[in-house]
Amino acid sequence: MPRTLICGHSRSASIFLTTVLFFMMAFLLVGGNRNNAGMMQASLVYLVFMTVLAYLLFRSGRVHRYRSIFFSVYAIAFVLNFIPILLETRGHIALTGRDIANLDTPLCHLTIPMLILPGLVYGVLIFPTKLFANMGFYPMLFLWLGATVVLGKGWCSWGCFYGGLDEFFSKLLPKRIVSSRKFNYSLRWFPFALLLVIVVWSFLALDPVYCGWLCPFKAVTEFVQPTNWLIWVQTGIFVVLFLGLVVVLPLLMKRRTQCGLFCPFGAFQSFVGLANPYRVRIDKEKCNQCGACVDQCPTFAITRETLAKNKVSITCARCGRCMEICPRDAIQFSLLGVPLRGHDARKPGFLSEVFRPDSLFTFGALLFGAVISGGMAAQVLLRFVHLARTGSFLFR
Amino acid sequence: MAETQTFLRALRERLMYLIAVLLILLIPLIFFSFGSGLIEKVAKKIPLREGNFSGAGGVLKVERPAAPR
Amino acid sequence: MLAAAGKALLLGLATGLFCLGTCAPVLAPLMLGEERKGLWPLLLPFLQFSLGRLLAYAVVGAVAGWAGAGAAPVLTPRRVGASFLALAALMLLYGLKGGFPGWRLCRLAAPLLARLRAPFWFGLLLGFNACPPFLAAMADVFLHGHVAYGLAFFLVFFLVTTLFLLPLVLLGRLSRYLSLRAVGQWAAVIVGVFYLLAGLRLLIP
Repeated sequence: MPRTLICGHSRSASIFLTTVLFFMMAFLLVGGNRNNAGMMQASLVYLVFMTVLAYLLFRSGRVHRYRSIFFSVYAIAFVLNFIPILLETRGHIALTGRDIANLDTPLCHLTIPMLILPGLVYGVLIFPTKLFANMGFYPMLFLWLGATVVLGKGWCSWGCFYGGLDEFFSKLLPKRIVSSRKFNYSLRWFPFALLLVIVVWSFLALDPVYCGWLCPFKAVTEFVQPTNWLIWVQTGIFVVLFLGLVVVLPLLMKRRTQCGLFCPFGAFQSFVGLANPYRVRIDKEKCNQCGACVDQCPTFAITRETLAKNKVSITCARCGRCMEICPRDAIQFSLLGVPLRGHDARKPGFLSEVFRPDSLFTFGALLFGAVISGGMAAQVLLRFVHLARTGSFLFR
Repeated sequence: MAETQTFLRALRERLMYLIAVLLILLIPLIFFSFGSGLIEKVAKKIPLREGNFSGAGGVLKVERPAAPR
Repeated sequence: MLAAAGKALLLGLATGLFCLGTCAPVLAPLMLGEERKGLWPLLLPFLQFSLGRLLAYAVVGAVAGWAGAGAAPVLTPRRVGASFLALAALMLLYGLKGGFPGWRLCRLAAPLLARLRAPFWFGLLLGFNACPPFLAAMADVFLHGHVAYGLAFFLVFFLVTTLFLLPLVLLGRLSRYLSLRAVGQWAAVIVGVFYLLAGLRLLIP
């Protein structure tokens, strides 16, 4: 491994950024739980955890390492919370016909691209969820719109509650078992093709076909109760896709294969995320085309061809891995319209450190991530306490 | 001419940094709006209705509307 | 009719992205010519080319619909299922092999047509191509068995494929086509799998 030249922040700038972030997170995380003492305490614990991560991230400049810890914790907390909530509110995990007829299905962001066309043409929501329920359509839509403005494609590495799962598995083994030297990089366009097909197909069938047939995360959230062979086949597909794309391949390749090679929402986000002004750029004066980033990019967003043009693909999920492993410190978060000055030219000085594009992006992304994950993480903490006390993971 | 260009470039950079800071300030606003009833207020104006699902066999399927609007 | 438009859109995208994407580099010099002054000299050959394609598609759509109407009594679910399986095999081959002999034809024919300087004929010939998504579109119209349906289907098919050629002709962005081609290729694979499932469902009672 070549020597890394990651550019962290001075102690004073790190303390400043972390302190401001701490207060903003505290305001949003703890402030929302004033009426619930247990949740408030659990949120405080999570606040401390996020604050420590943020300080380490700013100080060391290792965006990927510390983001990856947060992101994995977030995804695991989501799964550990989602199933118990279903059991507490519905009494069962698998969706029944009655749940569907009652529109009792929580909606996730992955459905959004499939809902747009039928919504525009027929004025109807083709997913069995309520418009205004807690995990219903409009809250999710609004959250996604906000995330798209604030994070852009960065949603895939800082906001999505599924992405941390394949990130987690990609980090478990110390070394790669399957080399990606002969990897066919045209596969990174598969999610775009899948997006195209599911959008048109969902419109034709007036049925969110991805949720019914292809979503790997059904395996760890909820799925339709298998009552006939067709639903058994669908459930089988969910499990195989989950095991293959989220567990086995990330373990073997040490890459986020679900996010980079399958997720159609990621493809959708690649387009709409362009509304956000942050980009990852390669400094052509520093880059010597060594290809370390090509080999390591978790979502396959840098190839030899894009690197030759000193560019990253539209699929870049702003995870920070390339910046961490680049031996010449040539890759950076940047702002559109602001020239890539490079770290050398970054004037040493408190204000210029705080107002670096990468500081601003990671600050916003950490804040968004902390708030969106805060409730789930706190609730899971409480569940563990409850488990120790009563022997049950469920609150009732 | 060159001076104007330098000025415009500096202005553009400042503007981008301003946008970056505003994006950070937007985050608390997004999360606050969830409890504020703003979403309901805006969304009520959108002509979108919930689907009518038969639920038979547990298959996700909506009854096809009679005709496009 | 909306369903027809949707299917035509999908198949058009698969064709437009991949097949025409492959033909585009050959096509571009023909379209662009030597001088690129003004919009009209640029647009005129493109319009001629498009008119050729439109005519070809209209003929194919109408004929397939007409033939389908005649063949309707013979089309048992079993035969339709079998033809779906054949289409699935074609689409998968096309998507996974990353090409099809058909486009080589296009490459061979291009220099000849370029010499003729007749974009209309080039469009007409390219209109009758053998790309699997095109065959799938033909099969769809045939199974529906209505001339009007066939015309509508291929009109959408034409519009979608044109959408993909337009930026190339106006901007000459060849490099983008490599990624677009990959998207089209994978779309063909996925549609192939769908045809496979649809075929199996018809064949297995």
